Formats: sequence, C-alpha cells, structure tokens
Amino acid sequence: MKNKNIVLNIAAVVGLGLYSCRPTTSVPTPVKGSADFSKYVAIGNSITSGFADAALYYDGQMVSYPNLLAQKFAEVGGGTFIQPLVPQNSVGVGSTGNSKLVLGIVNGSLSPVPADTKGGDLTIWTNSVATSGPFNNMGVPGAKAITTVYPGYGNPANGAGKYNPFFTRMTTAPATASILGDAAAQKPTFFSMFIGSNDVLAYALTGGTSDAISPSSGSAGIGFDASIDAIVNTMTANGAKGVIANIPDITSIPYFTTVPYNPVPLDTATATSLNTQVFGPIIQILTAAGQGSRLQLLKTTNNPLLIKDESLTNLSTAITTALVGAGVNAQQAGLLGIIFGQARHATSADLIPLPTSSIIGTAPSSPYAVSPFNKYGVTYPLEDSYVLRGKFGSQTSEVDSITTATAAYNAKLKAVAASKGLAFVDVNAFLAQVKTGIHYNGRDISATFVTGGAFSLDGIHLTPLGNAMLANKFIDAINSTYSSTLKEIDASTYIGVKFP
Amino acid sequence: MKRLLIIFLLLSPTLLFAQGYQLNLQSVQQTGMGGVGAAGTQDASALYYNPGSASFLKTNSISGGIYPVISKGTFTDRASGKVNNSDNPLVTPLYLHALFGDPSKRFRYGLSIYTPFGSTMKWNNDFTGHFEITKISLLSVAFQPTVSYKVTDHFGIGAGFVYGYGHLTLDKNIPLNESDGSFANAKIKTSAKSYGYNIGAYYEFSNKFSMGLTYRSALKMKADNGNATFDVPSSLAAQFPNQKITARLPLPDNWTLGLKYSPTNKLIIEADFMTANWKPYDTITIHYSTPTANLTDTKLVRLYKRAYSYRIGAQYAFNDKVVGRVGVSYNKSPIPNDLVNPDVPDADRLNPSIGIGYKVSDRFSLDAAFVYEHIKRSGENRISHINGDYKFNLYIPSIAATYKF
Repeated sequence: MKNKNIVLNIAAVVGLGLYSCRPTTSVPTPVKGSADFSKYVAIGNSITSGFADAALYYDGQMVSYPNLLAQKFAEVGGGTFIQPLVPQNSVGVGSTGNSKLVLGIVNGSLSPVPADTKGGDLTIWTNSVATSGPFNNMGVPGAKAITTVYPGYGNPANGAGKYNPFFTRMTTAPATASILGDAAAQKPTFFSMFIGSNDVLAYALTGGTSDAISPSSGSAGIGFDASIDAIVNTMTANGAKGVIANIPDITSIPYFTTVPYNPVPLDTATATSLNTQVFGPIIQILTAAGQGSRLQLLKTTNNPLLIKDESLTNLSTAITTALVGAGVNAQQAGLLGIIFGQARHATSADLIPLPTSSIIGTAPSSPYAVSPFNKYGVTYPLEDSYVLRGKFGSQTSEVDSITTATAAYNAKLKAVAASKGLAFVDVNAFLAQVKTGIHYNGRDISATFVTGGAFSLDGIHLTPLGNAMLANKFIDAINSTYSSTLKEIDASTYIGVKFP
Repeated sequence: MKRLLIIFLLLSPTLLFAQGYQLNLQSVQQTGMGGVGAAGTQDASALYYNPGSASFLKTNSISGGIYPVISKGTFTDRASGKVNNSDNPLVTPLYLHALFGDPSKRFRYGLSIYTPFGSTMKWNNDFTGHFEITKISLLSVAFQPTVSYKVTDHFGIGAGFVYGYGHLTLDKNIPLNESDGSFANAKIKTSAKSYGYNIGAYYEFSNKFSMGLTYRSALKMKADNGNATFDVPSSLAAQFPNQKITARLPLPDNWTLGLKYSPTNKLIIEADFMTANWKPYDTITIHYSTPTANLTDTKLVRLYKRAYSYRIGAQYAFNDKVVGRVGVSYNKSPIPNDLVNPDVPDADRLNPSIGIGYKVSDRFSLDAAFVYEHIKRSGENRISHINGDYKFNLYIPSIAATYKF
C-alpha cells in the first residue's frame, strides 16, 4: 500500500512538472540608443491630444499615440507621462461644444450620432486642470503650427482663431502662456512634434470658406516655416533629441473621400423632365457661351452633385436673357439665372466633406429654392462651404491650394528634421498606405469610413487601432535614427469603431 | 469477443483527441522505437502499420493504448516582442487493435481503431493572431477492418477499409467591436467523414531480415453539415446570420517503406521512411450557405508541400520479462516557410523516444513509452502577416496493454 502511494506521488510530481514545461523564450531587452527618454513632451494638435470621434474624451486620451509611445519609452528609462485628462465618464467636448460621436441606428441604418444630443461636456473647457500639470502631452485640439507659438493662446480676450479653450484648461497662465512655452519649460530630454495639419485642414474643413491656409513665409506666429523653426529651435535648445512627423494629404482621410462626387440617383421620369425643362436648355445656353462643360444631362444613377463654383464667371444674365428670348417668363428666367449662374456639376477632382452627405437632397433655406429647385446638390447648387473645389478649367482650386501648401509644409518639416538630426515620421506615406489597405496580424485595415478600422467616427481622427499603428511608425523612426531598439506595440488587440 | 465489446462501449461515446496534425501514435511499442513498423510489429498493431505483415504473427492479440499528450507553447510576436502563451487542453489519442484467425493458416483478419489526425490549441485571450485563431480542436477516429493474407511463406499482403470520422471546432475573433469594446467572434463547428483504405505488402527474407511497403489512401474528409455561429454586435447580426457551412479537408495519402533486422533474438532494429502527399491540402474553403455582403466564403490558403519522415528504432530484450526500446524520428514539415500560421505552427521535428515492455505472463504484457517533441519555427505568413517565433514542447507519455491468445 505504502509503495503504491509513493509511486502515485512520483507520478503526480512528474506529471505536474511536465505540465508546467513551457518552452523558454528570450526576447532581447530594448535599449534606448543615443536618445534619453527620461522626460518626454509631445507637441501637436488634436491627434496628439487623443481627440477622436469629434471630441476630446478619456478613452481617446488613454490611447493617444504619445501616451502609447511613453509606455514603450518606460521600458528604456522613460519617466511618467502626464496628460490633461478629462473626467473618465464624460461624453467629452468637441470644437463646436459637441459631445463625442457614437455609432447609432438612424432610420434603420448605422450612422454616427452624438453620444449626448444636448451637447458636449462644457465643464471640460471651464474646469482648469492646470494644477495637475505640467503636462507631458501638450497636444491641443485645433492648434496650428502658427498658434503653437502664440502667447496668450489660452486667453479668451484674444478672440477666435487666437484663443483655444482646450489650451486654457491646461495652462497655469492662460493670459500669457504659449503651448511652446509651457512645453519647453518642462526641459524635456525628448520631444515629438506633429503639428501643421490644421494650418491647411482648418481651411479644408470649412470647404475653403474661412481659416485661410497659413502662409509658408512670415514671422513665427504668422508664417508656417518660421513657426516650425521657433518650435524646433526652442525644444532642442537644451540638447533634447526628438521626432518630427509630417502631415497627411487630405485625400488620405475619409472625411474627404467617403462621399462620392456623383452619389445622386434619379427615377427615369424625374431625370427626363429635368433634362427637358431645365438642364437641356441651360446646357444649350452655356454651350453657346463656351461653358457647356459645366453641366451634363441627368441619368438614373451616379449623377454628379450640383455645386456652386465661385471661381466661375457668373453667367446669370446671359442665362436669363437667353431664356426670355426663348419665351420663358421673366420671373422663371430670372430664377434660373440666379441658380445656374455659377453652377456646375461636380467632378472627381472635387472633394465632398463628410457632413455634406446629410444635406444632399434636402430643401435649402434659400427663397429661390422652389420646386423643382428644392433639392440640395441635385437641382439647387451646394454652396462653397459644402464642397472642397477641385480643379475645373483653368481656375486655381481649393484642393490645389491645399495640396500645394501640404507639400510645402512637408518639405519644410523634412528639412528641419534632417538639419537637426531628428527622427522623421512620414505620416503622409503611412496614411497613404492605410488608404491602399494594410494587412496586419490577420486583419485588414483601411481608410474606409466606419469599417476600415483606422479612422474614428469623425472621419479625421484615429481609432485606438489607428493610434497604435501610428505610434509604431514613430517607434520605427526613433529606432532608426537613435539606434534604439524600442519594441513596437502589438496593435492587434486595439479596437476600431464600436458597433451598437 | 465479449471483452472487445465492453471496450467498444467505453470508446463510442467519446471522440478521440490528439495533438499535432498527423499522428503516428498507434502502438506504444512502436512509439518507443521512433514510430517504425512498416516491416512488421509484434502484435495486432501490424493491422495498422502493415496489414501485409499481420498474417505472419504467431499469435492473435488485442492491444490497446492511450497517449495523454501534454503540450505548451509560445508565440513571440516579432515586432512587439509580446510573448503569447498557448495552454492546450490535455488530450488523449487512443488505439485498439485486435487480430483474429488461425495463426497456422494463411488468412487472418482484424480491426483497428485509432486516431489518425488531430490538433488542439488554445491561445491566451489577447493573442496577437486572434483574428486567425483563438481555439482549434480537430479530433478524428478511424475504424479499419482489415484482412491479411500470407501468399507464400515469405510474402504477405493485406488490406484494410478505413472509415474516418472527424470533428472540428474553430474559434476566432472578427475585427469588429461590440459597444463594450470586446471583439466579435466566429465559431465553426463541424463533423466530417470519409472512406479510404490501408494496404501493405510484406516480405520476410529470413527470420532476421524483412521489409514492408504500405500505402494509406487520402481521406477526403467531407463536412456537409457544419454550423457557423457568430457573436457580433446586434446592429450587424443581419450580416452574420448563424448558418450551415460545408467544407472539404483533404487529408494526405502516404507511403511507408520499412526494414527490419534482427541479428539476435534479443535485438530488433527497424527503420522506416514515410512520405505524405499534403499537396491537395492547398486552399481550404469554408462555404457559407447564407452568404452576405460581409460574409463570403472563407478561404484558408495552406499550400502544403509533400512531407517526409525518417524513423529508426531498436528493441533489446534484457531478459524474458523486460525489453527496452529507443528510437528517433525526423519529420519534415509540409508547411511552407511563408505560410506558417498559429492554427498549426508545425516545424521540422527531431523526436527522440524511449520505451519499456514488461511481460506479466505469457499472454499479458504491459508497455510504456515516452516521446518528446519540440517545435521551433519562425516566419511571417504572407497572407495574415503574422510574424514571429513559435515554440512548442510536447510531452507524450503512453501506456498500453496487450493480450495474446
């Protein structure tokens, strides 16, 4: 009996021993190389702040790419990384005082809707968190390169464009401090700078109607180049190393690529009657004026949006006169002249911002929008703010201005990184790659709105997955410049858009 | 016969489990000798290893064994250095061979039941490859009624009809997130069956030297009544309806050539060469009965190559009661370097084995064996782009009882 127990015990011990025999793995310990990550400060805009789904909110801040980077820096001597966190359960606040977007069901279809229809959490703007700073994450939603150097960027008295409530909440001296000043005062040993998107994007977001593109030339606070120089010179003054990112082309982001230029379906009867009564005659008149390419006859599918292009010669009078001459009554002829004077059909060069999708086909509030001219984008032209105009004829387009500015900014950013020996992240190339599609650990990631996984519900800012992928690009750039061996983030467990 | 029936009843309600993809675990005696056996085995397991040799056995026998397979593994993601663990449930391939007929006559018959293929794996929750696999379990059992005929005193042939039954469950995450942030999940569950055969020829040059050649046919496993169930956000449920699926799993045919040399009556040395044609295992298509815009047929690109195994083993009788066994096998993996994937992270393996046999009486003997397998593979799958190092340890103890009559 006793012997049997011994045998059983031995068998049990051997069995347990085997069961715990996992193969040994040796992962090399990461090293910091020639960089010193002990004090890391991030300069940037909304993307840097962790803004997502059209608002600054807690979950987004937790996966901001600088916060993710800091977790990897911590493995090679990086210090604590403090962010100006908003309350954990808050619906957040966006640039118009809105709450974050969530995916909801509207009329049976999935659609981004505000998490709180009453609006965002405005206490985020009014309750200063400056006493829990200074903040390693100096990303401020809405900041431009030129505003990063503004003193008093937290001062409401400075007025729109020169004041930002997201900065007010995080600085101890709203009336006088600049983002750059507060960042430099922390004496970082390592910094990241991902700024400049808003210098073009703010213009693009309004359809090119306000927020002029920052010029390349001009002194710091006015010109892009001098502002970038001011930031980089200040941050490197004490010998800090760092990483600079360039800015994406707007055609990489779903905000400008989701809504096609030709989304309009029509039934045969409507198309025929509009062609006979409106588009046919108008095209004839435009052709006579040498502008026949502005419009095309309507079909049943994929009709381009009707837009107002302010760069076009206004042919109102010519249209009205010709119609009256053809026997149309003066009131009707006058109306068509007003509506079609600068109207044209959109082309694939035009970019339609995401929010425009919700007004296509709705009734405009204009007094001229009488039936059948009461359908936005179909029979009534979308105003300039709803469209980012691409090249049409010989006119300089809004898209061209943005593309040119983006290229100039990126040339400057790359040159600065090279001249200072800083790591350089080609975010533009990365997002172009996302647009094409990335296969990552068994997952397809793309720039497709909602389902692509990379972009949040505002179509501009990144999801947790997108942020993790972006952080990996920073890590790769840092490793190659400073001979560090930081490990990438395993982004495969980071999430995309949440579905109800 | 009564004894056999009881064992059958014990077996029938449970499926046979296994680890690895193709198993060579059909006799504890042979396992101790590196898995050789095409040139003859010492009991009814000959029905499996070479049906042509069974008619040369001097006694009938029933032999049953069990292999509790213990496996633990890791996957280290190349880019992040994250170490993922795979804690695989204990699984137990089983076998039972029974040989009947008059040993003095030329014709013998019998039945083999065994686990031809199998795999189980369960990865930790935040596994890097969770969109490929979180859990897989492939279980199979083969029933093989067999006849063996001694054509001459030196030459024998045999043939078995094989009925294969398998059961597959596969869990993975879908890259969609619920409102609580968790990942959606898909589960495929199916049984599959197929028919095939196992034939062998055996030539005994002398009582010292013999050779054998066997061919086991492919098993084109048909899964016609599988189920796919989806745990997805409710707003997307219409895109992922639970439904029937069909699939084909073409398991390979294989040839084995074996040699046996017994210089004294105490020593047996055997060597086998096996090759399995995995080429038909190229793209496994899971066909959905109710496809949607977001749910089309799943194509698993495998493109396996021909696999090879080299096996050598020896048995030495210390005395009338106790024999010792030792062996080793080298197995060349069918999985191409750029298609290694976490569902079957196979690699070329060098598997040492040892065994011991104890004759309790003239009729009854007990055997035990132990195999160690280590899998080490690195690579990037060119489709999933999962890139890293796979390491697995498999410990396969085994025990068997044989009754001769």
